Amino acid sequence: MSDDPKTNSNKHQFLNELADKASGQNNLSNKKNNLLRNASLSPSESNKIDTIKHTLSELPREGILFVYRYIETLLFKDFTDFFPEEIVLRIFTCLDQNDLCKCKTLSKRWKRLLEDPSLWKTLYQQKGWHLNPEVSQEFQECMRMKTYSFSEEGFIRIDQHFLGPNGTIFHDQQCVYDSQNRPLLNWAHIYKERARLESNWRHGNFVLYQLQAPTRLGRLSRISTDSVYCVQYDDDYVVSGSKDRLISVWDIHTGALLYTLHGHLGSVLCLQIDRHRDLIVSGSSDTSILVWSWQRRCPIKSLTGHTDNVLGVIVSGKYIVSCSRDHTARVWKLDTLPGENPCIHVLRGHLASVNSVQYDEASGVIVTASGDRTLRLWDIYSGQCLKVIYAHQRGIACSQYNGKYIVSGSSDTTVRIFEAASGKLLRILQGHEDLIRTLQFDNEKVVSGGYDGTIRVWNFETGELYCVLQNDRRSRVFGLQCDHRRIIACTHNSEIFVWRFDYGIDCTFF
Amino acid sequence: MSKIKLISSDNEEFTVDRPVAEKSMLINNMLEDVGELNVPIPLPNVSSNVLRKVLEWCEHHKNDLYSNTDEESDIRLKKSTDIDEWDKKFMSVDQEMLFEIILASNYLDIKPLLDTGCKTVANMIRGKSPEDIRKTFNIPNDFTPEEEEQIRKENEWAEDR
Repeated sequence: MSDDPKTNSNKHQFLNELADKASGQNNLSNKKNNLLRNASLSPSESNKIDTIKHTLSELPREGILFVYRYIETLLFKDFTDFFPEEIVLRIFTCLDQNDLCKCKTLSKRWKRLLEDPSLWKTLYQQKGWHLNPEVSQEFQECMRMKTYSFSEEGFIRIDQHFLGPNGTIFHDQQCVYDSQNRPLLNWAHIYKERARLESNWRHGNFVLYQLQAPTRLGRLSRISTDSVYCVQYDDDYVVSGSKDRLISVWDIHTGALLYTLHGHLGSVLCLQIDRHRDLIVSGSSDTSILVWSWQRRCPIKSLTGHTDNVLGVIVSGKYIVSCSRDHTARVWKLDTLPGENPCIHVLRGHLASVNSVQYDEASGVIVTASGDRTLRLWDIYSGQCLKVIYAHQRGIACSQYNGKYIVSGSSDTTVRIFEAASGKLLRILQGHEDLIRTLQFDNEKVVSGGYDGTIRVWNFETGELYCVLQNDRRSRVFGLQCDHRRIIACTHNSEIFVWRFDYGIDCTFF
Repeated sequence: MSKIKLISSDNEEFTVDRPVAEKSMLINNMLEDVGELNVPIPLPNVSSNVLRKVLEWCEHHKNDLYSNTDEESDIRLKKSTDIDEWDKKFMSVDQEMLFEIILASNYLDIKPLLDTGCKTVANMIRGKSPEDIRKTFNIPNDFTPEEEEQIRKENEWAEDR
């Protein structure tokens, strides 16, 4: 449809198009003369129209154009003028960030409406993003204190940082003021920071650094030949297990090695930490599982029974679940009476090494992944096998289970996503060039690392590849953990890499 | 089937089947409160030409299962941008009528119609240039070019898709 009425010599056609435009339609076909021959017009109104048509026919084109612009102002209304704010916001929540930000340039009123915190709060929730409840609580608390500490007229915008009751530092950007000058959480800012973080993952924008063991004179490469098999972290610490039989504890903030734990007689192949419960659980090629006290830095229990390398270990609730190259997985009670056998089930059925184990406490279901190419689901209470999924064309090296989905990585170089309840294969992620050794997923992304020396980040929903992370030496990736801000991974060349995607982003609230 | 009488703001009387009228939660709740209602229900906020249109929608959708939307599915509903073909055609009206339908569905509390209306308006914005949007809704630009440029710069982060 032509927007320029000057090009229309036929005025009727022009008015028809106007009618079409008014109806929000671009197709001319079925709407001819709808507006001009409206049956609901009274005879006197029809007469008036005839008069207008006659007057128009006497005008030069410039005159018609002027009338056209005038008619536009009669027919097209700014809906933000017309609707109550609640409907305007409803319309806005149907749009994405790009369209909304574009609309901020339309007019001052639109800009004001589009800065409404509740709009961005809704959009944030639509994305399924999480907010740290403790920090937002602390923020409210802090703001309440701020409000009371200034008299009504003396309340000024604080252009500085201020300290929350739990020690979190908040800054002015994170809050906006309502019409009564009360401070609110600035959802537009939080949304923006979260979206920028997301964009960093999609485009592979990161800062990479390495955890460095202190080197001694003449022993520069003390651990450089020793593989690091597993790595786990929490808010403050990184813990790794390696071929030199050591568990190393690092400061996540400074990257410094704090201390090492000695206890295993073989390589530390797998571990899990839970500082709140004062626990480290580790599995080794010495076939034992050690339960450590985090605080006392010593083993408090040894679980024996496996007859080969312990390849995976999970601690959750009252149980420890482990898997081994001896073709079995085992369920152990974490707390036992003296003399009681802690091993409550030996899960037998796999025909090859059980390389990975997962446990969902809510459903009581254990998932094991094996070199026999199958995934198996087990009931933790009975020890019975519930289901066998023939998942891959070659052995499975790693898996994760969240109660709903199972994601597995294999030496067939694919990552596969299964629906656990039905065993249905949902997606195949292809791209790795060698065995996939380790992976983790959440509802947004899958992160997988393998022997091709790469870590790949995929969109969980679509399977689209976001980015490929490599290290200089193309070291085989043995273990990784990630969250919404970073990936920490360890390699066969004794490296522990940290990929941070949150650099320069205000992550206070998520 | 029992019939319900409705009276528009301009005093036109409409008689519809009860399930059609019950698409409106406002009317539905009213009927639930009083049971059988023999007197016509006045709708002082809806004119006859808009009410006729809204009832046409209710008639077409009378057999739809009304999803008792909790907050979460509500959010997901709004997220999806697709509108079914019949509704798309139904919404092909001039702008004023479209806006009136939205207002009426808000007042009558017909959530699916309100959502369809809001999506239709959102579709008039999606992917369009600011100039086109200004034209569509007759929005006068009260920014200086410098201000506009400044806002555009501040919002560059959002363009990344």
